[in-house]
Amino acid sequence: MVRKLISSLAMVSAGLLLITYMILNGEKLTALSTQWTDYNSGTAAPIASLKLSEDIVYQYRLKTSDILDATGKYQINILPLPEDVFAKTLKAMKTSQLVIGKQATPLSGSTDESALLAMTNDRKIYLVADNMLKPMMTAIWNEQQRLNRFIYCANQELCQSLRISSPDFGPFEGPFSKSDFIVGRRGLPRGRWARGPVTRLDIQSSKKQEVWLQLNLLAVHRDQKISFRGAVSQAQQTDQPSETVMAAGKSLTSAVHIVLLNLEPGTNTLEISFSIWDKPGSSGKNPVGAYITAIGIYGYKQR
Amino acid sequence: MTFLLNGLVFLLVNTAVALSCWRLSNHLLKDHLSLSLRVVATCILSFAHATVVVLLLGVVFRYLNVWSVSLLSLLASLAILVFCSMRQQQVLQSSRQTLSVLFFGRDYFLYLISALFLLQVILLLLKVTWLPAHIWDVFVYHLPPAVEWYQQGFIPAVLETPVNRINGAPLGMTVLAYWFFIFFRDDFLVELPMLLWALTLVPVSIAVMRQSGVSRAWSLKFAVVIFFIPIVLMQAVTSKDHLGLNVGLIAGLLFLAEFIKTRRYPLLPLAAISFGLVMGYKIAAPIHIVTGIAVFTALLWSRQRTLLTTGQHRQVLYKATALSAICLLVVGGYWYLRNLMVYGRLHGAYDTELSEAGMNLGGDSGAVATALSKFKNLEMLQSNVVEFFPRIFDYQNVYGADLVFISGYGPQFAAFGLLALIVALYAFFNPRLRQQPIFLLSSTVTLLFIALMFVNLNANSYRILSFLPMVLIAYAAVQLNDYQLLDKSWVKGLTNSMIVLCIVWSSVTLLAPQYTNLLRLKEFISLDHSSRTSANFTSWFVRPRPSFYRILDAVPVTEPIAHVTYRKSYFAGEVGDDAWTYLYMDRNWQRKIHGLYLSRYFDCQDNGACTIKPTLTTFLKQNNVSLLSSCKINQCLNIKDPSLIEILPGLYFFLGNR
Repeated sequence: MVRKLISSLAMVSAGLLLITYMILNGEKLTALSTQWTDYNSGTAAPIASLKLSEDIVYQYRLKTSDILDATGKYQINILPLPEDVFAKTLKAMKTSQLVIGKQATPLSGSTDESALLAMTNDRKIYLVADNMLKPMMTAIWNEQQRLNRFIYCANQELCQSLRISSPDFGPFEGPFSKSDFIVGRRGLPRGRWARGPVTRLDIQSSKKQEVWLQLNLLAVHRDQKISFRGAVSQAQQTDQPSETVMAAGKSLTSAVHIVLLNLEPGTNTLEISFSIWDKPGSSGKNPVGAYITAIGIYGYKQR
Repeated sequence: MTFLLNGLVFLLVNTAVALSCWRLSNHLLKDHLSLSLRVVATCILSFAHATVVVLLLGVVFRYLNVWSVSLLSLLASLAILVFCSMRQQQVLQSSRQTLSVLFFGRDYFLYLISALFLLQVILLLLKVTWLPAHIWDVFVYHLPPAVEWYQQGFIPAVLETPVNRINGAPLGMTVLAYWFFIFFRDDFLVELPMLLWALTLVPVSIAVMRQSGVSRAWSLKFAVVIFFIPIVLMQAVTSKDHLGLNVGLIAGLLFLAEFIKTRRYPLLPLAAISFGLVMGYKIAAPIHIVTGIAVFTALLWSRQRTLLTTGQHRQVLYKATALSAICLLVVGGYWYLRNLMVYGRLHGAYDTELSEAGMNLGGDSGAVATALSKFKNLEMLQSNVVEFFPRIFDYQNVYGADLVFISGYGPQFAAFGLLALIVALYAFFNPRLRQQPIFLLSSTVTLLFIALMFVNLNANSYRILSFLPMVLIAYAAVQLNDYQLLDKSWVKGLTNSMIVLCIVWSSVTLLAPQYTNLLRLKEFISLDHSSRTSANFTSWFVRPRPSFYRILDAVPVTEPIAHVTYRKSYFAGEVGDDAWTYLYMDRNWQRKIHGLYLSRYFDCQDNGACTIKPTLTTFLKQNNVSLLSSCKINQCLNIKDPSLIEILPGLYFFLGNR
C-alpha cells in the first residue's frame, strides 16, 4: 500500500516538476517568435549573372556585405571571377552586364584594368580575377579612404586655418548594414554620437574670421530643439523636410543646422544644447543628443 | 564528377568499416541476444577503427592522405570480414522481435515518438551538412589541428601554435573530424562525428534499459527522450567532444555491467575500447574512467567474487584485463604518451605560461598534489549545490552549454531525472537496488557528478556533465518498470504524454541555429557552397565583429594569412591564448594560416596600439604573407607602420611582398 502510494506520488511529482520547468521557461517560447520573425524578414541571396553579349558566363550568389561606402547607401561586394572569365569580360566590357534579378547593370573598368565595377541601386560590386589579391584590396581600401571624411571645408585655405575638436564626441561609427547582428548599430550611417544634453565644440582658429558651420545630424527625437551658445552670431535650421530613419534601434530624425560663427584667433567654444536627449548610443556610456554625420565649413561669403 | 568519385570512395570505405565492425561485434558477442548491445559494439568499434587508422598513418607512418586512409581501412575491414564468423540466426531472431514490437505493437505513442525522432535526425543532418562550424572552441582548437595535419600530410607530435591547449589536449574527436574531411577534402562533414555519437546514445540507452528488464517499446521511447536532451541536440551539431566523452563512458560502463551480469570476457576489451575513445577526447577523462573502474571493481567483488578468488577464473580475468589495457592504450594512449615524451608530463602544454612549440614550459612541481587538492574545494562544491536547481530548471539566464541561457538538461531531466537522482542516492543503501545492472552506471555517474562539483564551476560546466541526465533518465525508466508502474494505464498515459511533451519542447526551442544572425540565415542557406563558411556564418555575442570576416571567402585560397595571438587581454571578453584561427580557413583547408605570438613581432601599449618589430617584416617576407589580421577573437589591435596598409579595421595588407 505504502509502495503504491509512493509510486503514485512520484508520478504526480514528475508531472508537476515538468509543468514547473515549462512555466519557468515560458519566455523561451516568446524568444521563438522573435527568432521566427527575424528569420522570415530575411531574403535569399540574389543571383548575380554575368552576361557577355547574351551569354551568361558566370553566376554567383551575392551576400549582404558588412562593408558599406561612405554614404552608407551602397554595400561593397567583391565578386571573384575565374581568371579566364575575368579576361574575357575585360575585353568585352562594353557589351557586358551584371544582371541581378531583373536589373541589368553595365560594367565600368578601373584605370589599371585590374577590377570592374557594377553599380546597382544599393551595391557597388567589384569584379576581380579570383587569383588576384591586390585589386580586391585596392578596391576596398579606396572605399574605406572616403569614410574618413567627417569635416568638409569649402576650400583648403579655410581648412588649414581651423581645427575642430570635441571632448563630447564619441568614436567614429558606421556605416552599418540594416541587417547588422547588433540591433544598436543597424542602419547607422557613418558619424559620431554627440553627448546630451550639451556638446562642446572647440574651434581653433589661426585668425579672426567669420565662417558658416553646417551640422548634418540625426536627432534622437522629432521634436528635439537645438540651441547654440558661444562664438555664434546667427543660427538657423534649414527648412528642408526632415526624414525619420530607423537606425541604431532608435527612430532618428535627420536635420541640418547652420550657424554663423565669429571666430577670434585661438580657441573658440561653441556649445550645442539639445532639448531632448536619450540613453547611450551603440557605443559609450554617456547620454546622447544627436548623431552627427558631417560638419561643413564655409567662408562667410561662400554660402 | 569529382564529388561523385569522392562520394563513392567515402561510401565504400565507411560501409566496409561498418560491416566489418558489425561482424566483429557479433563474433565477440557470439550467442548474446541483445541487438542493441551489438549495435553499440559496432558503433564503438567503428569509431575506434577510424581513430586508430588515422593515428597509425599520421603518427607512425607519417603518410596521411585519402588514399592511405582508404587502403588501410579497406585492408583491415577485409581481414575482419574474412577471419571473423557470425551467427546470422540469432541476429535475425533478435531483429525480428524488435521489428515486430515496433511495427505491430499498435503503440501509437511509439509511432509518434519514432516519427519525431526521425524528423529530428533529418534536421540535425541538414544542420551538420549545410551549416558550418560555429562554436568558439572549435575555431580555436578542435579543428585547426586537423587543418595542419591535412596540410602537412602527417600528425606532428607538437604543432607550431600559440594556443597552449592544442599541445596538451587529447584530440580524438579532431581525428574523427579529419576522417570525415579527407574523403571529400571539404569540411561539410566535420561535425558528423558528434552527431554519430549522439545517435549512438540511442542504442546505448536502449541496451542500458533492456539490460535491467525494461521492455523494448519503453526502452525505445525513453532512449528517444534521452536523445532529445537539449545538451545532446546542441552538441550534435558541433565539432566538440563532450558527447563522445559521455556516451563513450556510458557505453564502457554498459559493457562492464553486462560483464558482471554474464561473465562474458570479450565485453572487457569492448569496454576498454570505449574508455580508450573517451581518454582520447578530454584530458580530464581519466577521472571518469577511474571512477567507473572503481565502482566496477567493488561490484565485481560483491557479486562475482569467484572470478577474483578462484585460480582458474582469476587467470582468465587477468588475461582479459591485460588485453583490455592494451586496447585502451592503442585507442586512447597516444596523446598521453606524446605528452610524456615531449613535455615529460601527462598534461603536456596545459597550464603553462608560454608554450610555443613546447618551449619555455612552466614549472610542474606538485602537479598531482595540486590536482588532488582541488577535490577539497568545499567552496566550489557549495556554489555548485546552490546553483543546482537554477541550472536544472534553466530559470537564471546566465548559463550556457554552447547555447545561451540553457544549462542543457532540459524538461526531461526536471521530470524524470530529479526523482531518479533521489532513488540513485538511496540505492547506495538499498541491497535490492544495488543488484540492478544499471546500478553500476547510476552510482558511477552520481559519484562522478559529485566529484566534478569540487573542481568544475563555470557557466558552461554542465555540458561536460551531460552523463548525468543521460543515465538518470534511463534509471527512471528502470525504476518505473521495476515498480511495475508502466503497466498501469494512467501511468502509461502520463509517461507517454510527458515524453512527447519533452521531445516537442526540446525540439522546438532548439530549432533555430545558434550564434548566427537570423536576419541573414535565409541568405546564408542560399549562398554558394564555397561561401557557406564559418566566417560568413558566425556572430558570437553582442559585440563588434570584424567586418573583414565576411570578405574572406573572396580572398584567393593561395593567399596565406597571419594573425596575432597573445595571452594578455587588451579587450573585454578575450580569453587566454584563444585565437579564432578557423575563421580564416576556406572550406577545403587550402589556405596557410600563421599565428604570430605578439611579443615576438609587436610592441603594444595597453590601449591596443601597436608598432611592429623588424622580425615581423622578415617573417612576412619569408612566408610570402600579404594579409595580416590583428584580431585575436573579435576585436582588433591597431597597428601603425608604413609597410602595413589598413584595408579594413583589423585587416592589413603588407606592402613588402609587392
